[in-house]
Amino acid sequence: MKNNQVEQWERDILPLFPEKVRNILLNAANKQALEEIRLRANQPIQLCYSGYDSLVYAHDDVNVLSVKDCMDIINRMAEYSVYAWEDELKKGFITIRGGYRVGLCGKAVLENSSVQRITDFTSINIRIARERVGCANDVMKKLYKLNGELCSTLIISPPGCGKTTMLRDIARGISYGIWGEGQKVCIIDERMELTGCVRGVPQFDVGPRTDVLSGCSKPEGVQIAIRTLSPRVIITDELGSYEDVKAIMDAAFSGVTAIASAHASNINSIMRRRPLMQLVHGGIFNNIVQLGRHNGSVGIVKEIYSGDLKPIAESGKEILCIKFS
Amino acid sequence: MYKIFIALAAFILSVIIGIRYSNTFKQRVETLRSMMDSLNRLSMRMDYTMAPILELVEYSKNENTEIFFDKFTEKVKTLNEIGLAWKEAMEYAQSSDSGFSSLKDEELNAFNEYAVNLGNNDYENQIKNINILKLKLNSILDEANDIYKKKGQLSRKMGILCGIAFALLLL
Repeated sequence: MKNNQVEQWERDILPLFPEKVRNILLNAANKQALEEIRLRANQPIQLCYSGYDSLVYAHDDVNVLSVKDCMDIINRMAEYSVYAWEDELKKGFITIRGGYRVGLCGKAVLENSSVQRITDFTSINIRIARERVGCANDVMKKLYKLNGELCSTLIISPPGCGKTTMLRDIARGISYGIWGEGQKVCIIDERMELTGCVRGVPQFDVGPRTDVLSGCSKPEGVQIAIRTLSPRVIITDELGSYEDVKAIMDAAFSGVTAIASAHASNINSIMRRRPLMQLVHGGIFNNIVQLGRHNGSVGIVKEIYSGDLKPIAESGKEILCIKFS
Repeated sequence: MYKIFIALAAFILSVIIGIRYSNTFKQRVETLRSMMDSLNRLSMRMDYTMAPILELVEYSKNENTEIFFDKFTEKVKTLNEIGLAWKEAMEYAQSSDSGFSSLKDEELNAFNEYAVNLGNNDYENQIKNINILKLKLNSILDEANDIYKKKGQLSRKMGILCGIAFALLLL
């Protein structure tokens, strides 16, 4: 029995593939737990699940995908308009209808030692975007102060542990006013993964009080948001550079609550990344939520720390937020 | 009385033929102008929104080019190849009773050459590609306009003259 999300991605993604790939994916096992579909020219298809993967070969022993097939898939994803995704292609991804982020790999064309574009695509990595309504419920109860004020929060985890899914649910919850009074939220979605924006339209429900600045760098986005959108909460994904950190600091010092995520396996890893260390020492975040994986489930809250990096009492118990059933 | 009616009919028929022949020159000019207008809209919209080609086409079409762009959109969805879709849509528009039937091979080749690179490279090259086509169309349009002015008027006048001649002969 298929669930809605499987039906959804089959409807959104399968028409983009050649028939051979389509048939393989239609017959794939455990589709509801599928996290990534990785296609490589002249290689089998790699299906990635939570904690394991499988390689699928074509029945007739011929390569599943040729280089031309890869190019055809990307052309279809780009709606036959490569120029429309020029900036994204330069960064090695495109976001397609339905909010699926597609990572691309091929030959980089350089100009003045910087990547101008990627051509001759040979690898395509499609991340199945998931909407888990309510996955942030348990953790959000701990992120409000007694007076009902929302705390600035940083969510950390290694890649693929549900940071983005949780941020999306937090945005939706705050915007709808699920855990308190509904507040104006602004999402700065640089890589269009958080809201899955396609041509400016979020593909996920991020709430009625949410404004989305997509494709915009965090420093610029934060400035635009503060000056023109007057948000109460700014949410952004994948902090990493000094510019990102400075932008979040600007937001926090302007009186806006900041909720962000960063790649870090644990609290010690943050301390090894200078920009993030600066952010933590700056006292910007009241809470740091550490997510992880356990027994094939992702989005498990491993620990919640206060701004001074001390574990918050009663947060030691793991909270399962996202489960693939 | 009977002869007068026949002479009048012959005159009217001759004038109509003359006007219709003249209209083929006019149609060519109008279709080229409409395509030029659509291309201008397409390049402006592309410049401003960087929207995908099918979206741009929706905003770019006008009364005269609608038949072609609608078929193009339909063909892209079924053929999955933009150059081929453009060519087939052009063939369809040309075979239909529209202004495209008045276009010559020279114009059709220019349009089809343009479609080879449509959508499949970066913005800068897309704009260059459109500009090349616009340049070609401009010179074709000037020539088509001259022909219309000369031959169009001539065929109308010839229609009237022949009509008078037939009428006189019959009378």
